[in-house]
Amino acid sequence: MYQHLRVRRSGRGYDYQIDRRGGNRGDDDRRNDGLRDRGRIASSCPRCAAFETETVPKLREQAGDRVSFVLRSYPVVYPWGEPATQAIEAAFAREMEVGEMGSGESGEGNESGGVPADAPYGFRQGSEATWALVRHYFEEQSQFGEENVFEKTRTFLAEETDLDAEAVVDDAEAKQYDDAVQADLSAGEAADVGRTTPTIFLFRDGEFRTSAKGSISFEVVEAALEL
Amino acid sequence: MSIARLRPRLPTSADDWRLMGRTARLVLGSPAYAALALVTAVVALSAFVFGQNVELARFALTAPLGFEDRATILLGLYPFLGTNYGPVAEVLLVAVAGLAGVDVAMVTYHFREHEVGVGSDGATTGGSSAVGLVLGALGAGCAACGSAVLAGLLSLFGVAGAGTLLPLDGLEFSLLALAALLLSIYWIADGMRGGEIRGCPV
Repeated sequence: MYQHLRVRRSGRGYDYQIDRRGGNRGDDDRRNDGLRDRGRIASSCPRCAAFETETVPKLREQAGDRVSFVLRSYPVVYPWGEPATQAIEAAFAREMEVGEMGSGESGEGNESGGVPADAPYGFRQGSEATWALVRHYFEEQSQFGEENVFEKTRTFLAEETDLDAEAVVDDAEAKQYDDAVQADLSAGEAADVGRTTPTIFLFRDGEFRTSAKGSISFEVVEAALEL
Repeated sequence: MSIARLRPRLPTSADDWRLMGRTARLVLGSPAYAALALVTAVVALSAFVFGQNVELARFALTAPLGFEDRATILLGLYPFLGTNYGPVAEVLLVAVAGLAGVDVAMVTYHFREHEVGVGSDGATTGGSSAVGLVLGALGAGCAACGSAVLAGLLSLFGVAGAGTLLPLDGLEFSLLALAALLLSIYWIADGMRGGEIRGCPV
């Protein structure tokens, strides 16, 4: 997966976002008025899990509302990562549709207000269920395999989220949102990421600073972005 | 030429391992060679970790950062100082770098002090050292970045699903590096058997 870490001077609030390439890319760039960090992570990659569970929470705690994350999938490690990524994209699409129907807006979630300190990942964007799925993949990596990823995804979504689990898995099995998966893979190749995950791209004030490979620490991110 | 001479010499007995330990200790007892071992280990480890993050290392060295930020980034790439590696990988990386230092010091001593040329012994030892260093670098890459590097490498040979083939996520390369370096150290020690190091019998 990609992770974008955005540090915003405007202090609009900390958020976790799932980034969709393609149609909303222009909007995404225009919203980047602060620091941004992009990373690519594979849900089946152990070091990606380490970054997600060790560095990201500390960034959220220490950097507060100056940092945000955008996740992009990059399934290049174990075979079960690809269907898992299809499921993530399907869950995200369903969640955004629900958000649009509920708010009548473009799925921006809670962009206007601040983010409570204990808000779940994806609160601002309205992608909490998708983030819950992402974290579930990382936390239970050793339990997943190509033969059980959809079944376990269905079970998790049904038990832990409000999403239509059957619909999400059906979409994932049919690769309904494969364009998003392929767009992220293509973008990764264009960015010369290779087959290394996690890869983190760091931006500050809309300007690219550097990239890092591996589960870099909070201290390294802090120093590179001069938080 | 007997067939026995063609079989690789392996450290199969406790005496062989004691020989390796004693020979390494005698060589490293010289401050110059101890320094060489230390410098080589640091250079090897630095090459392993910076090789995984060339862009970040370049940024740390050239960007307009304060000294503290620069040092934080560079030191954060090392095992035990950063979070790029799991605990087993950290131990293996430091062990590979350390053995590389010992190996280079012993090879240098043997070639310089015993005036050994690059004959069959030298080629075998040097080759094993080089193999150890290459495997160490590959192991460091796999340790830092999961199996993606390994999957990419093996995909070049048409091995799909490569990440599922190795249970240690590529740390097998670090273990092979250790083996190659230990063999090199043994062959050097065996070559010095019966001689003297700084006046002490081997």
